[in-house]
Amino acid sequence: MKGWNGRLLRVDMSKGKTAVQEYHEDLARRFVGGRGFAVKLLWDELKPGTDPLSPENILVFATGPLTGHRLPNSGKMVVAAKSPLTGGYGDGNLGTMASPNLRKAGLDAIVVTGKAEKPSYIHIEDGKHEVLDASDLWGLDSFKVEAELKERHGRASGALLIGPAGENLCRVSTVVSQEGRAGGRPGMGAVMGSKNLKAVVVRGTKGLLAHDLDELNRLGKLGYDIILKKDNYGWWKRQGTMAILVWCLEAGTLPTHNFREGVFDEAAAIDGNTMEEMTIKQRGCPNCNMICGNIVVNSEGLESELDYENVAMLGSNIGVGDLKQVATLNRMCDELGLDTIGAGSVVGFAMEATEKGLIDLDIGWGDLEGSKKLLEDLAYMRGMGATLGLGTKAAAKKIGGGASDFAIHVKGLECSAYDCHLCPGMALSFGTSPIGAHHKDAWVISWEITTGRREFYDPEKADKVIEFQRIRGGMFESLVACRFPWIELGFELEHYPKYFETATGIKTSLDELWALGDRIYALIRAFWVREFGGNWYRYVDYPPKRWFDEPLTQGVLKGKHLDREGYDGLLQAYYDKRGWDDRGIPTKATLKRLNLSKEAVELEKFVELS
Amino acid sequence: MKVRVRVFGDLVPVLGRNHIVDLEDGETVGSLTNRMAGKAGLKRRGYLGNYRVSGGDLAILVNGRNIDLLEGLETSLQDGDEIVLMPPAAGG
Repeated sequence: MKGWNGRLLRVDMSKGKTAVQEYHEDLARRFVGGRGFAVKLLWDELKPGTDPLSPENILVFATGPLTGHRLPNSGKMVVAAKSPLTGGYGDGNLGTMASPNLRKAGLDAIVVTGKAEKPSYIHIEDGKHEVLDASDLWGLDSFKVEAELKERHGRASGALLIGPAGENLCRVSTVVSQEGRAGGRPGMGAVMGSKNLKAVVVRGTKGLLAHDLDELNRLGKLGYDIILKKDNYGWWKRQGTMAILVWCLEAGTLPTHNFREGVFDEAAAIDGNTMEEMTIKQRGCPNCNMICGNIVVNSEGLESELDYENVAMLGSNIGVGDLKQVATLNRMCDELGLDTIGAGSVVGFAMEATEKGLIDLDIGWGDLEGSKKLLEDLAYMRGMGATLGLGTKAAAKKIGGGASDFAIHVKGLECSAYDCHLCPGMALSFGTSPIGAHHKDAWVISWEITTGRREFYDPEKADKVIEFQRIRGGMFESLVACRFPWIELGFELEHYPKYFETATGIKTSLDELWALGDRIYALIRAFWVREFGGNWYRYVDYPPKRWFDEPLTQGVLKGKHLDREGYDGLLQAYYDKRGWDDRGIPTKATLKRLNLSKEAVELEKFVELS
Repeated sequence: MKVRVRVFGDLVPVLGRNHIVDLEDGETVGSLTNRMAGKAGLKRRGYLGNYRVSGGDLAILVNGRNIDLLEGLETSLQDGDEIVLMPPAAGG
């Protein structure tokens, strides 16, 4: 088996023991890597009903066969576990030096179970694997702890970390690396915290193996050159993802005041043009020549790495119309290990709950100091932060008084920064995303709006969502490579089967990679259904109530809202095309077609299959 | 009559950001984009920068409405209209 190391590291935090395991070829063949590995390992090994914050939960860090090679944007890895925010499958990816280092240490994944008696961290250096004491690191923010660990283990090592938010089991916490790269929105930081795991530090020095390494390096070099020559590369380098803020404003989809509106009066003060004037440097992931992180100096004189999601969620969504102030909140989230999207949503929710008199907080729209205090309270789970830190869904349930009507989430995961009052296709993307409301898997909004289809509920939108989910959520998340060269610059998808073949020696095609995506989607869906059992029904795939029931009151989309019947029809079209039944559960025939017959037998123990 | 044109994304370096354009009565979105292409010295027929004017590459909004939902490039313009030229977005 070329292309994979064929080995994963098992770490039992309870015993402080590590063991290298050679995994079965079937895992690589059927699930490739990254998200595919993660969901298969969780499906096979996690007992259904496990408390996500108990020692029994399984935390997976997984790379893929392209990770670490000199190939476009191959410096990412997937982090996954059962989510303490949603109760279902949770994952995310992040760019980190830990990715190439893990592969060069001869490993493809790390699987962590148990709970250490005291704060600890995992240290990997080529063939050496150990669990070390982190008592002196516990409580440190993610920037400080990374600096300290690099001091100890060398600057070339990579580190995956949590801040205080993960330590204190705040559910909107991520895994952080490199001062601002973060992944694992569905509470993956809290899962690390629940295991008393402060960090994973990895250093690998071995060469990477591949079926034809020379050819792979040649293709990689060619790929980087193609990216540099793409027409819109220059524009991308100027604003990166921030260019979309103005676009969202014009399209009326910029989340504003907790997704009540899609336009923000002060948008010009937080947009890409404003950022361009403030940018002092740029930062990216390993093996990337797109460099999407723009660094500005915040209102407290500190550096902060911005992108669209955090600026919209910590800006317009909470009424902050000053980019330096947004950058201050963003840096706080990165240091504390809070998910910038989730935190922006929770703060917006708290502002609205305060406005409505449902909770007693000293906070109002656009309130920098109030927001700073709340972010800290979230990370330390103190005061009202202890409730809000459970995420908007659970917090709304505790608060009551109709608060659930303005908790903006799907399946418990807060929506990322696209208002969908008039974007049924994007609403379907959020509704059917495999982790809850995240844009990563199917960002169809650009297609939906630029093709002038936004008001329609035609089944073609379901096709588009599935097409994107196959590419983004299936192929890129498993290979593992970043989707940006393709989605942002038009780098051709045909490069990826070629990379895969050259890395592994296994023939493939885009169609086979789509089938892989469908297999992964079906198994993730099976995981959710196994956890929810009889409580699983199609309304779990509905977007937030607000988008149906509270029309926009401002901008060109004034009066617009989603239509329930239209959405339900779109959802049914999606199920039909996927081969899932009316409940949104893959049928027996679908599971068989996707080479998941064994998994179907297991799923049938929990729910009757169609 | 005068219309206002706002340009976004990587069309900004090609066309400039904000424009007030003088048009004859009865002109359409198609004639406006032709004028803008001419003014910017663009030679490729039917294109603004790298984007085909028709065919879904580029979103063109008139007073916030996509022209695909109006009369396409034949959509008539009125004095005071605001036109947005929006290339596919980067960001997700």
